[in-house]
Amino acid sequence: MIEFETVMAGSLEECLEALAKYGSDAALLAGGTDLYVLIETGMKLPKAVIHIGGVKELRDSKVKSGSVSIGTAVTHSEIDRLDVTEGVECLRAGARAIGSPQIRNVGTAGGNIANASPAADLYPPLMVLDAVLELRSLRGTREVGLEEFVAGPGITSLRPDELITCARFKRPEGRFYTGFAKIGLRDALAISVANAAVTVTSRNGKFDQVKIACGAVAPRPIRMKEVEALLTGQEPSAELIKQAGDMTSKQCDPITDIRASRDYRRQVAGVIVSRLIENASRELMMDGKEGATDA
Amino acid sequence: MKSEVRPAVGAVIPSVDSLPKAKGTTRFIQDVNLPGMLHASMVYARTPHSRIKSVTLPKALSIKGVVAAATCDDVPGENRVGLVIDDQPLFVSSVARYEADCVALVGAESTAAASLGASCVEIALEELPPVLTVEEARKPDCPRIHKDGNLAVERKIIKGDVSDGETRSDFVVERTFTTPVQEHGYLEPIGALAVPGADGSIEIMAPAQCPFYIREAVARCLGLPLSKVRVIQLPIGGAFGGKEDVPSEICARLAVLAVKTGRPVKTVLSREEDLVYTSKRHPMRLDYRMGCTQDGNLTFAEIALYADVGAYATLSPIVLFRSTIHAPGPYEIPNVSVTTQGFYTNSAPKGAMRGFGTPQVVFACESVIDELAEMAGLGPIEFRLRNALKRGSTTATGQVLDESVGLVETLTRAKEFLGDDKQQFEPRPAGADTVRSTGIASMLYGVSLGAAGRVLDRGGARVEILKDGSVSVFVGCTDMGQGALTVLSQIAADSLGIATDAVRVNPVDTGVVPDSGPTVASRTTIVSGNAIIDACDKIKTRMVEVGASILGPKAAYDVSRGGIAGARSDSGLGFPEIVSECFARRVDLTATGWYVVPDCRLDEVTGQGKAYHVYSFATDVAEVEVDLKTGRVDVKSFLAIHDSGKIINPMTATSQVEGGIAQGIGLALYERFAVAEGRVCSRDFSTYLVPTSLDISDDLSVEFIDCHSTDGPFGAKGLGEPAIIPVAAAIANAVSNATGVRVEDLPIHRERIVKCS
Repeated sequence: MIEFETVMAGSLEECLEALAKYGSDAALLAGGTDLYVLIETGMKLPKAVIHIGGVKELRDSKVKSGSVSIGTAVTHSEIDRLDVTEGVECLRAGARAIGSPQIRNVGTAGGNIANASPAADLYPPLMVLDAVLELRSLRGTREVGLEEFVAGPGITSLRPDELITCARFKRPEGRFYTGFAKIGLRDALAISVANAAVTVTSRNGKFDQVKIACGAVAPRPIRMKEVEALLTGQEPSAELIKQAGDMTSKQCDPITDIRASRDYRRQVAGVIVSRLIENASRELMMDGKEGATDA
Repeated sequence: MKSEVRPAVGAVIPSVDSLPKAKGTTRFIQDVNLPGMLHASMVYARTPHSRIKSVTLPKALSIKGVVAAATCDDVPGENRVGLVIDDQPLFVSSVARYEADCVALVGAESTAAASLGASCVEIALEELPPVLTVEEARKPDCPRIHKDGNLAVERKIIKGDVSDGETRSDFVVERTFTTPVQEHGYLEPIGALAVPGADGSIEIMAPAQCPFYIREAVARCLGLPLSKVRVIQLPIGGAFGGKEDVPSEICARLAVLAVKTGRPVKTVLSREEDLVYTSKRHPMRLDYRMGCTQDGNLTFAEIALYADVGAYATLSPIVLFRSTIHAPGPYEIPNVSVTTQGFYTNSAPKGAMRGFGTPQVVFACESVIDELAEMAGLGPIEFRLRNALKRGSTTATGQVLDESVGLVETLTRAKEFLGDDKQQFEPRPAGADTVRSTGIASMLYGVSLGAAGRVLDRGGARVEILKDGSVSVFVGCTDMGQGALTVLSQIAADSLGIATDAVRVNPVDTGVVPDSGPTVASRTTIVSGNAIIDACDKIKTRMVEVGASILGPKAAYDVSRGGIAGARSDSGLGFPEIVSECFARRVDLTATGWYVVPDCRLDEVTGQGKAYHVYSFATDVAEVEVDLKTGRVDVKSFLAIHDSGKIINPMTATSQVEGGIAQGIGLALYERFAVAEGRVCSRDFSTYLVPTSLDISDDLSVEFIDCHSTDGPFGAKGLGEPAIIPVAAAIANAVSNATGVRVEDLPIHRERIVKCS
């Protein structure tokens, strides 16, 4: 029998007070899609569970001077249909790729981020959007970029008394392409074997700003900086896109596990990145159409 | 007289139990609780192969809420549960042969206390070297899992002379295939409840496929006469063969603790326990050599099968009998040799799973058939048609098929559907990295138990007509979601000429119906259906006697209207009238019906003879799209064409086949049971992936060829297992056609497709 205290936080203040009191003995509960499994399997034995799903300010999302913020307790289903994510297709598609409808209806942005699985589907989209996380405690507020936040599987720079309150990113401006792709072993309820997100802009028929991030191919989700550099300022070509895929594969350092081998993960990470870049070049430079599209 | 009653057989009627299941009001074992009931947890060896030195209980018994525990020392009768070969203890007494071999059972006031208590049972053991693969188990110097060695089962067919057949062959294909462990993946884990009676009897309630197996196991382990054990079947949340033999072990252990404590004892396995402890589909290595002439006539098949039976033989002798008989496929082949060997390993026992040893051999055989067709320059359908079993054909066991052979019709329909027999099977580019193609596979399936189970191949039904004209039916076969309650109601209704609504078919109660054998082998419609018809005939004879005393000697039963028809067309007694008349005269309107499946026997040495009384047939057509860069296989469309004789209920039959396609897609593409060093790694459904609704094609079609069987009730044969049997084979052939690389191993591995393309 597992026993713990429960705190039903009614406000952000109460959350932070409870966190200050229990520190690393506390577990935060929003949707519970990760926490319940961790408790059931004995991997987490909290002394206190603090429910944050009822805190209004953590369920808010808004746009303020071009900056979108998504509250930590916003669900994956909500991310996919909120006005503020309209046009930010990589984030919507990433949210849609998680679990099943039941899981997406309760699982939250903050949970996906704080759990810090290398395969988490929200990381690559948020990374290519250059998102920052707002972390709060009774001691104060700080902002941390995602790459700085996550260090390895389940390892983050979140302090025991801190809470992620929201993720914030600038809406891409002008004409851009954004997309997300995932390889899972089935079409629903699948943990990513590899995932990727891109945002791409073009200028004068050339790739301009290119951001690429991949998950499940290293101990933590990673930006593919070398691949980005390879593409920037180049005219799209089949050869270049293939090179981008190959370089992605090389930059990956995945593990072999029950789901897939290291070789396979590297191979398919390259495939999905080159397919996303291919889509981007078609959208931005061939058809001349405006807007953002899914991969 | 009433007007004609619309026939129930052949009508679309939703499953009688579907509404409560959809509403969540069905009471499953999880919902059944009795006053004073203990919750039990099994204690497992937790190591693949070990000698148990001692099992110490005091620490477990000191846990708050723990009431009692049972070990081999508490078994009043025999500490054995072997079903065919007597190799399995109820509680391990000396050697534990797999990770979840059961050492003890702990009973407590709550499930939490029971599982904590179980984890506190101290087992002193000495680890023995585990035997993990058939390759190891076959070696002469391999450690022995059982005292007589590691070879558990051997089966054979010898027909003609394969070397003579090979001499006459223009083309020969030789290939080795492998197939995986498959888990049943039913929604409801196994559970049971044992209730001790004050008179020394015991009552068992369980979601079990085979209540009569449980009765025997419990009686044997408790040392009771069969009459003192009553088994009542609870609603079953899926079984697929997984609740055939395993519930017997669990029920017998619960019964031991129930007798020891004098209290009802219940257990429901967790998903992890269910995955690690219970039986699975046999993984196999299949060595095939088959040949044909230039004209595409099959000349010989030389087949060797090696199966992993796990720690205990359980149902393996019968499963591997079926594999052996079905290995050469639904074709006329003059020279056949099949040898099958099953070896013990230190893993969970392999047992019954939908198809029962057949999906494996159909995958191998149908792959080789496609290759031979190509060598002979024939389309896959044309080649199959040329060799297909027809009425009058002789099977691999030398059995002449005298009726109900619908294979040619299924193939002809497939050809008509595809419109072409060659181009459709070529690869068709679908995108930059994707290619599509089609594959087909055919099968035969011997319905019911056949020669290997002839002694058990009979069944009973008890029919009682009540004074309001409603009908209560008890049968010996269970409904596990396949729709038996509905189909059997329809059969009873049409036997009497009344509406289906007036019939209630009850769950199995061994205290009411005679031993009807197991609910397996797609036999329920035939066995219970025919037994119901027999019971109804007996009752109708009595009704006609009463009717004749009123209407004159020409009175006869009128099944089209229900009731008795007189000599003149306007004279007669409707069903309610004749029932009232019988009650007024104190006539017995109950009867026990009985059906014996026509005898089947095979020669012990050559495997020649009549293997099964009647066969179902099918041809499946799969269209797939393969992503050559990621190895993803998408089933775009699937058509299943079945000859299962008369279809009693097209709605439930169609959903039965759709479920089979889904489970077959799982076998072909998704399901991978991971084990490392004799310990199961796939301990939940996030590591053992079954297809979800998104992974099943949106475009499933099911068609039936109505090929009547004279002996079947209203012409029916079996369907439950044929539904899955050719599915993986058709998908594998489609993938082979798309990629140009022959699929040799199931499930089809994405990484292998990527490597090969």
